[in-house]
Amino acid sequence: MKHFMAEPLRVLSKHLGLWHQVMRDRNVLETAKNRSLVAGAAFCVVFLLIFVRLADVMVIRSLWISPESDTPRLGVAAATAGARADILDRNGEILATHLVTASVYANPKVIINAEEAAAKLSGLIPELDYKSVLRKLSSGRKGFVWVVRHIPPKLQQSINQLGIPGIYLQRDERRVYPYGALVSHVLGYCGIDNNGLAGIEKYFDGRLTGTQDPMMLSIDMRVQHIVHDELSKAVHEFEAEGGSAMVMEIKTGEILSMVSLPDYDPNLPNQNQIGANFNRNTLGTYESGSIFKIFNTAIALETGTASLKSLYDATLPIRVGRFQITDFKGKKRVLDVREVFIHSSNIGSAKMALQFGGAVQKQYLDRFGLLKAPTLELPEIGSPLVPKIWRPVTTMTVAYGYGITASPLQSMVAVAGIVNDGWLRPATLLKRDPASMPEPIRIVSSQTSRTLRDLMRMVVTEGTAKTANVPGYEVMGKTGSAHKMAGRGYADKAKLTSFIGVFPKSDPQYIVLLFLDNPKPTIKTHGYATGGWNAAPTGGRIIARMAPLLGVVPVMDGEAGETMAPQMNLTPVNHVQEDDIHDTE
Amino acid sequence: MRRPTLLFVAITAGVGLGLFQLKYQVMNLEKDHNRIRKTIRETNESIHVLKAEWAYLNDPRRLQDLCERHLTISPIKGSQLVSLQEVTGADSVGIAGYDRGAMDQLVEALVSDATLVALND
Repeated sequence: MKHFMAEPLRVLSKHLGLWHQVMRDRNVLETAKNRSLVAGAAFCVVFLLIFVRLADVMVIRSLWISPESDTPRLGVAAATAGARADILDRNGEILATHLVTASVYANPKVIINAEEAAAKLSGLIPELDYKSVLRKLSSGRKGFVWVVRHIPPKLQQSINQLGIPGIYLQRDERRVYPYGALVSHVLGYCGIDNNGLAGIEKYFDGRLTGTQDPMMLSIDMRVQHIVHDELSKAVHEFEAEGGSAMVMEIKTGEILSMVSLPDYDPNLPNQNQIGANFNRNTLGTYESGSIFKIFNTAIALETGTASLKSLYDATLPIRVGRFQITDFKGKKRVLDVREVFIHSSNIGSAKMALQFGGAVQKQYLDRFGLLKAPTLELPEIGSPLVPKIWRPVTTMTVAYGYGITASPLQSMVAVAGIVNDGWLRPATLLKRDPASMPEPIRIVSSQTSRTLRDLMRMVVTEGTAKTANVPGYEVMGKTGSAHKMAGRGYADKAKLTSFIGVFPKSDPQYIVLLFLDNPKPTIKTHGYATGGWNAAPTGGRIIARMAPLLGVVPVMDGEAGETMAPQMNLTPVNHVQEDDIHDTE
Repeated sequence: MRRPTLLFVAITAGVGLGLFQLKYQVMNLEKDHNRIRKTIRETNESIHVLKAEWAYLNDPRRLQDLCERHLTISPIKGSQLVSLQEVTGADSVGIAGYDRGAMDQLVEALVSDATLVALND
């Protein structure tokens, strides 16, 4: 049986074994095949990725990107990365820029011989004091100490040649102002680390450090120079303590020039005289005196409490408590509105103000922007001092510019609004795009504006500001002389004289306002020190120089402008001096 | 060695050589690129300094001082400006304020033919 079964079993088992063998081989093959497939697929995917990325970088992107617009890569920074943006004037002149300098720092831990190093350094740079340098270099605890900031290239080379270990140079930038003191109060200045500390530099600190685009101001260098030049001469001639002047383009509110004397050099911000960085135009607020008669007359005409024919008796001074309101070289007779304005009569102005009363006065002054701080792109903005209680005496003194203070900026913007057909536009120090002008506010009617222009023109043709007349430019204006405060009362001699001028009358384009602080009488002014004798001629000289430059078309006599005088049959009035207030205590 | 193997070896060698070349080419280009960037930066800085210097030299106070010392010119006066009409004698200047005819007349009045010829030469 066994024998009978053995053969087939053997055959079967052999076959089975073979079959197993085959199956096992096939499995192995299968696995191998699968594995190589997976690996191949993985490789394919990765290679495909690489291929796609290469195609992306080398073909697709190169179609979009031109070599010129290649972005700077690491290690190759832009030419002036991290630098403060330049400041330009309205014509693109550079007012503030930076120069690449180097600063010297030391690592006291590395310095071998502090005495020798200090001696070498202080010998090379005269500003360095041997002892202080030695103290810096021998403070072994610190790993970093500034030795000197912002040195010129020649010195950099010398320092390099000294080759003192532990003394290093670092690239640095220094803010420079090519025009020095000429634009000082507008620009302000920067600290040693180029951080804005005053003026535009402070106000726009974030904007100037944020982008590289230069900033364009409304300032016109040429006008700035003319104003600075004439004002300096006036301050010098009349031995004034200081002065301030501004020029503004009426239709846009752009300030073309802003000068405040004494001034300082923003390149050397630590070496100013005390008070030199005080901006009299925006930060100083003063009792402005007769310039307020422009506002007073405008309110009276606007509210209709007075017309050009209204009469005011200026024969006797007005007594109010311990004050009496008097006219300086007054006419001692009845005056009409025109004469009150041209002769600058305090009595007449006070009586005019009483007619419309304190509430109306307050309302209009607020509308003119004289009761709150003005808006301008400077951190140095002064708020006006406004009387808390508005008594009748307040109403009377405010009528001719006492008992309330305003910064020259406020007065200028308000007057510009009145002559600009009654449309007030806030001032700006930035170049305004004609397309994006802020909406002007109507403060007085067109009719009132026209009348005021006629009156202001007469102040120049026959009133206190004759010296400001410039043939061809139809200058109109108003002078003022205010006594300065002295303790509880007013100083007897010290005055703040002013002149506000607008031209040309037929189409007011520019407004000039200037103040002189405590000018002295001279032989030329016949012993007077009022606005008509010092501020007005200075204003006239400024207008005469700037008008042709700015392309204002001169109006020759007999062509236009002088229409009011024949109409009203006005008789020319004689020159009259300025107002006065007597403290009778 | 069979033929395909040879072919592959050849291709690999070729690609390797090509890559090697390309790499060095790119390195050289990078070097040039950086050098040019540096030059541009330095030039920009020089221009910047020159602009600052130009502004400094253009200080109107300095220019006025130089004018007063060396020249005989004075600031222009309003009375020195006249309208085109007064010069050319034309009855009316264009409403737009810019009249081509008046301008031509002015040029003709001021410049004789001889000068024009000289200018054009």
